[in-house]
Amino acid sequence: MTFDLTIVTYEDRDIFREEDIFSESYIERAAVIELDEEEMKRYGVSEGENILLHNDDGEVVVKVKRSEEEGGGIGYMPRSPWSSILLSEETKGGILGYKHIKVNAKKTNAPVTDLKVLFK
Amino acid sequence: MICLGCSCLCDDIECEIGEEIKVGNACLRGFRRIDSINENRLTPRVERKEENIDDTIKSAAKLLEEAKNPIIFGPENSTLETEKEAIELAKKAGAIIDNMSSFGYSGYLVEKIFRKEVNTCTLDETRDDCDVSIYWGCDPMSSHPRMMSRYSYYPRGKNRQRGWEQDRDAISIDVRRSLTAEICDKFIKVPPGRDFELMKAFKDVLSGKIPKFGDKKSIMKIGNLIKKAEFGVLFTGLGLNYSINHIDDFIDLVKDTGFRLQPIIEGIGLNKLLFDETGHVNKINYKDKSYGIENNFVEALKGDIDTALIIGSDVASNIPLKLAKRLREINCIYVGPHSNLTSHISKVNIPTAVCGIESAGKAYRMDLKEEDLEKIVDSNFLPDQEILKRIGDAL
Repeated sequence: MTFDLTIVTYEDRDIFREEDIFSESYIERAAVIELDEEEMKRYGVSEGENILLHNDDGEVVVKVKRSEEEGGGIGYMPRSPWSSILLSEETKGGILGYKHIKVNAKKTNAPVTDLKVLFK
Repeated sequence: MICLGCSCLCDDIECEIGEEIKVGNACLRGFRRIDSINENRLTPRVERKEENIDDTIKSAAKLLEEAKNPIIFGPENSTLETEKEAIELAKKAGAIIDNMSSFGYSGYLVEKIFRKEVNTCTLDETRDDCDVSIYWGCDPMSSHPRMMSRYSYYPRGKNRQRGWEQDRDAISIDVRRSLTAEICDKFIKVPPGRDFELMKAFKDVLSGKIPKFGDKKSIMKIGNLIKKAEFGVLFTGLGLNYSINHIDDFIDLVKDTGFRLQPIIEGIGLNKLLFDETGHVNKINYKDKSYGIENNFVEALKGDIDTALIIGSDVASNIPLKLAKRLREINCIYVGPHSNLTSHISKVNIPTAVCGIESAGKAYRMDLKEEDLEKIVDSNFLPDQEILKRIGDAL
């Protein structure tokens, strides 16, 4: 079953522009979505499991991380190549919608999206 | 040394580079920049094949020379000298030049400040006088980790000797409880896209009306704090940019409150140089000397751009997948110190020194204070301004 979710992206203090984006350590921190307990129950996922996020602009598999902050239909993703996959190319005067990405979401056993495969 | 890890340009960094790298006073972001001189460095490549640096420069010049519609994007965290060279190169190549400031409203706000249509102040004035600071749609504790401790909240200022404990109030307005929100006295959580309603609520409080949005009691309390501020500073960032459709109403609100506006922005040097020359801070096309939304990087990429020169910015990680794939299809040249998604999809990679560590120059802090950056370690990498100059000379 899929559910509607709004994604808000943010600049994560622990993600650095100098890093190797293909390294395991980077992927562990950047290819994630933070969901609160209620949202996790809705999708039937636990922390550390994978979730498929998709919309008309793309689809991406990332890991679920528990968020202490109440979600109310919102998931938080660090701004990264993985969150940008879901961005619409439609802009408001050149401005991309990083803070308001609408997606469908469902639990998956598929692995986290591999950027090297995506940009082969 | 001065740190170019973000636009705070902290000037008290102690650094010793030997067999081990020892860094004092820097935040994690600054430390990682210094520590990264031995990590994930870009190698010179053309079509994924390793080449010598001279050949990569020749290839870049050839692509730019053959380009019908080129664009230059960046740089971020670089020197004024590099920014000047980027503009010169855009003139020679007849290219569009743009940077991250056009991805949100920060460029628009900075232009208003340069035109003196909105009040601003320096970070030193903020440290000495600010009694109420607002962080709207920004999280400096993550993006500019020492800004609040050096300037806006924690320090003892000339006229704010009792610091954050008694002399200063800090208010965070954001869609999530960020690290900045955690340490502010007050926090208003705004649902995505509803900042405009909060702005109207503040306007109501300022004119003595009851607000019609959110937790009225809390908004009135904060509104009254804003009213009473002697020296208020409003910091904004990308969060505000992506949430407000009525940016001029936001500017009116800033004027009504009497607050000074300080967009938290990187690469302001390029914005200032472009403004001094053209009257605009970004989105300039040197082919026909036009300015406009069609010259925004994202919009231009949807059009007939055939060649892109990206300087020290991992723009591919910040744009929609379709556009990142388009960037891969056209002739893309990446000039920068480290590998990233943009370099991965580029046809030509030209490695550079890390500015302020392996090369010297000047840079602007976010409030336009000019600082001199030293070279603190020898390296085989060329400074980015030299690479841009050599590409320009070869055109």
